[in-house]
Amino acid sequence: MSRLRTVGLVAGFDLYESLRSRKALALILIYVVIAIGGTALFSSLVNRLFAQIGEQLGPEMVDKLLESEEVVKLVTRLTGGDEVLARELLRIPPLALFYEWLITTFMPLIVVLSSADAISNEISTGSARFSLFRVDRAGWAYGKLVGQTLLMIVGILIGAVACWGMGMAQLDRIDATNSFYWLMRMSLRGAFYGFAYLGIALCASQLVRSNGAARGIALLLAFGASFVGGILAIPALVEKSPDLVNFAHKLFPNGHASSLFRPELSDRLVGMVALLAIGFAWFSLGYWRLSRRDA
Amino acid sequence: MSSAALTLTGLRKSYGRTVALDGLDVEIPKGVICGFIGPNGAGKTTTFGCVGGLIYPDAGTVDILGHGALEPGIGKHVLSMLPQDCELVPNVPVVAYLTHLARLQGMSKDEARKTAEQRLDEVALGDRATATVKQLSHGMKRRVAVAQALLGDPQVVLLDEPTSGLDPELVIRMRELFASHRGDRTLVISSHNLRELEAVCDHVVFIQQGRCVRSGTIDEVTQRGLVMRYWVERPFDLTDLTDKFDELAFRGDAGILTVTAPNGWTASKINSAVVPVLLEADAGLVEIRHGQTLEDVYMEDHGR
Repeated sequence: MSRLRTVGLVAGFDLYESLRSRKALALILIYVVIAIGGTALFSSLVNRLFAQIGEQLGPEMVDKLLESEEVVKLVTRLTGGDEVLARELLRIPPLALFYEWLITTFMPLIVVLSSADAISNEISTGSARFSLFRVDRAGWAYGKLVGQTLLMIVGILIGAVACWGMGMAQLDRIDATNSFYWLMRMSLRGAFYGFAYLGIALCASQLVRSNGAARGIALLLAFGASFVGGILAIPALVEKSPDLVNFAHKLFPNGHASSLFRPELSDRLVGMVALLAIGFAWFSLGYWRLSRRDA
Repeated sequence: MSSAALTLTGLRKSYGRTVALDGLDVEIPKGVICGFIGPNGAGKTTTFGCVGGLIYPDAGTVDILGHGALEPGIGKHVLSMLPQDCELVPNVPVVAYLTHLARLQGMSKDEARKTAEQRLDEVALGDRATATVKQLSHGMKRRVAVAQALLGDPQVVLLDEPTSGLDPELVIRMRELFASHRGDRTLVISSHNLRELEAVCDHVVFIQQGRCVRSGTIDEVTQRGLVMRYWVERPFDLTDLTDKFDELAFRGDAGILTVTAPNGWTASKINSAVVPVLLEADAGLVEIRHGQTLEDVYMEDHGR
């Protein structure tokens, strides 16, 4: 049997089993709650902001203001002087931008907590043994990775729909079709960011047998990766040795977060490939251990 | 082409300072039902794990049907197993789970579903096919685990404690199921229930402290044809027998007289010699058994 077929079968069954379990429902609920809660706060803030602008300058000025060069300059400053990025951000509906921020902020934690036991649990309960004399370990482990990736994508997309629904209900000004389109686009881009952390979670899951230990290690690694990546983005540090620090920053998921928003496809592709590579690198590190240990 | 289904040579495995397998050499012929016997910690489960590719041995070789060690997912699915103490995935319907496992063996969806349903019928769970694993009792889960081991057409099947937790009726049903595979495939069954093994096996391997201490056909191991045992109610003088038959060896213990004969003797010849003496001595003969039981052999190996 080809390894690709094994990966497909294991991934399909993993997703099927997850969706039938309370764990997947809880996971989807978390995405939905975060999306709805966050969107409610965001909607209220945006509505108040636009209302104040409308009161002071007149309702017709709101759109003009958002398209003005002053706002572009403001956002350019916020993005560290990247005007191209700033203009692209202003093109994306605020709701989609907000959801992207929401998932890149919370998804690493959700992914780590939900997927860190994907392999360790099957090893500790012994259910992996029913599969591992039938298929090779690499096919099985990659199948688990694909299954968890699909589960994450399902969660993100359902969260996006919840976010859109909440935005439709709460926001005074919303372009429904455009927002939905961008929410879907940003969700898929966000999945690449989540994949890097999924790699970390499944690395931990392959290292140890205990679910608790796997979660602990995954949290530590994910937190460490975010922390170090954050440190490497501090301008004062970058100025000291730009090439070295920028290169080091690219080894961490948050080194590629902004590239997902860039207008050029080539820039986004580089970011996506880099995030996939980071996820696969962590996963492979875990697999190195799994392939050498008793199941 | 090898005549052995399974050949283990010099298999060694340690967990830290604990030696689980200490140079295990075993050969199991094709088509037999083989009992794999040993006390707790003897290395039975580790052996199965090594054969199934779940545990990596420190040294030694595993050869399955002359093709070398198992390479899961590569080539035909020649080996299947029921690992010990493994939980089935709890949230999916039993038939869907078995279908998935059968598909991992390379079967098409329809073929896998068909074989899954067939095996569930064989373990008397056809009516629970759509129940999830967590809805089943311990005994039912055990039967599902047995069913998954028999999916498809594996030539060698390792079953670790397949009947633990089953009621007597189901134990008999399982025994009949295993016996129905005799000749078609090689079944290696690890169990502490020696009577059950004796009833179904035609070959046995005894292991102790990670080594094979005895193996052979069940007739060879239990010395059927060479050993007779007589249950008597009253004590009698053994010299009545030892003086008359110097070719035979006699041992009396707790109302059981064990007679061992050299080659050339048969059960009826031993009876013809011994029974008249016991009747004449008024020993109160109540039962005669042919050969030893596996329990006797096991106890003998353990110095009891």
